[in-house]
Amino acid sequence: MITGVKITILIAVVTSVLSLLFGTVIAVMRNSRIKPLRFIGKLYVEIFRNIPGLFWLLFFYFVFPEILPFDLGKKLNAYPYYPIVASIIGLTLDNTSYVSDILRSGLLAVPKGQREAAISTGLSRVQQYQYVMLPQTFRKILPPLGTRMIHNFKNTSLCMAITTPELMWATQQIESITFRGLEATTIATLFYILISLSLGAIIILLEKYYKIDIASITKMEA
Amino acid sequence: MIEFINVNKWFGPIHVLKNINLHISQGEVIVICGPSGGGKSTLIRTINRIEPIQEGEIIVDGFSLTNPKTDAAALRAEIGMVFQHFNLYPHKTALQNIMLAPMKVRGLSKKQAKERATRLLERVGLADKCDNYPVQLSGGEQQRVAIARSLAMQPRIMLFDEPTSALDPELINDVLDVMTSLTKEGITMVIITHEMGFAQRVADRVVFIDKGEILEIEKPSDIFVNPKHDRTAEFMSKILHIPLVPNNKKERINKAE
Ligand SMILES: Nc1ncnc2c1ncn2[C@@H]1O[C@H](COP(=O)(O)OP(=O)(O)OP(=O)(O)O)[C@@H](O)[C@H]1O
Ligand SMILES: [Mg+2]
Repeated sequence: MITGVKITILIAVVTSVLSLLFGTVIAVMRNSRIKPLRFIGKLYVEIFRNIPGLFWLLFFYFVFPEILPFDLGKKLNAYPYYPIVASIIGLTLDNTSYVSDILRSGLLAVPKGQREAAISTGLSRVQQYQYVMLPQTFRKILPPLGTRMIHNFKNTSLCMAITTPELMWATQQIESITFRGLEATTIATLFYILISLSLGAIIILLEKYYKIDIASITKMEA
Repeated sequence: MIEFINVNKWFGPIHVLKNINLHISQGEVIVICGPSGGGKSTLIRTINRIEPIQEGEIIVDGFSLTNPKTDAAALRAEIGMVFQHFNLYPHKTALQNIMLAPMKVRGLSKKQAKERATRLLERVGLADKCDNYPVQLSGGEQQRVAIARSLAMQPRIMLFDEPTSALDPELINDVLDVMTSLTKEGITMVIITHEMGFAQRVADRVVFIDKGEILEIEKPSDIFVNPKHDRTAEFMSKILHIPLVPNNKKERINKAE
């Protein structure tokens, strides 16, 4: 069970970090003045947001190894940690589509004058995003982003469908071996609640930490 | 220092800059005024290529802005810009607002940037507000930080787009004082403002723009007292609250008498 918790946390953390990273890239692409980039970004979001996360998990576990050339697929299937890898890929792709959309809306809400100020001091495009627009975006979208991350954390339970030994899977195993389903499920539920609440608490702490910044951003836009 | 040669610009179907020709020498202080929507902002925003132009040429410090080889970012580093609504970075303190570009564009160390920023804040009279976030500053203070932020890049040109028009009257003078002190440093300044007293004191020339055209370029003493154009006269009388008669009419009146 504890191993299950560890793997759940591992998957949640890795997918959250990766989807934040990729989500930022997609959001910036969608904000680009280059049309093909905008299109690719939009296409990505539409594809991954409109198809259930479970589908992508099943896809990467069952289908993906089949369509690989040579015996790469066989090697993958033989790799004992492949379920975890497939879980991470599937969930990251799914979560990225939501995260990028939240980021994009935050980015759109940064006043035009911010970018103009940054441009006029000679900052490069990357620097404008890095130091001026994205920091403001992140502070602003903390609440919806937090909710999304909790959602993503709960989605890790879907990974049991592809035999990933995470918390839900472990609970089922314990139940089928010991027949003490109620106890196992209760404990698992408590773990889920505990971790979700901690995530919520981290978000609140972050909001507190950036309190002046956020107040400043909100007021400046008014 | 800044040269406009037959510049034309459109926003879609709207012709916002019409055949602009203007030569601004190094160290000159130019005030731009004119009715709302006349193209003042657009004009100064073409100088650092925030707004591209469709026809003609603009040469800044020897570099043609229409030449794709010109490194726009490098040129912008030499051109400070101050906005009507300050546009300070709300997530950074006054000091951090000023330090960002010198560190990232000029490659100053954090310590050097901090020294420079502190000196500039002293200079604009805000030494005690280093660690304030923009939200904790009054409008006038924010604008002075914004000016310090531009000065930190040690620009050769400074552009001001109505720097005092979003400010309460009692805060305007602090900002104008800082700007007046800059005029003594040989920085080329292009200022959009309707503070005519200030213009009278500091401007070498005043440019009057209406409907995308430059109607007059005069010494402040001339344009305020002896406007050539009807439209300039009308505008000046509204701004200065005194009746003005354009030159050509005066002559006609004189002849009639
Ligand atoms: N981004 C834009 N897209 C389309 N039209 C624009 C844009 N910016 C300005 N315009 C139009 O261009 C014209 C000139 O605008 P500009 O802002 O340069 O005038 P201004 O002289 O600075 O006026 P104000 O005194 O009100 O600031 C106006 O008709 C305006 O509506
Ligand atoms: Mg304007």
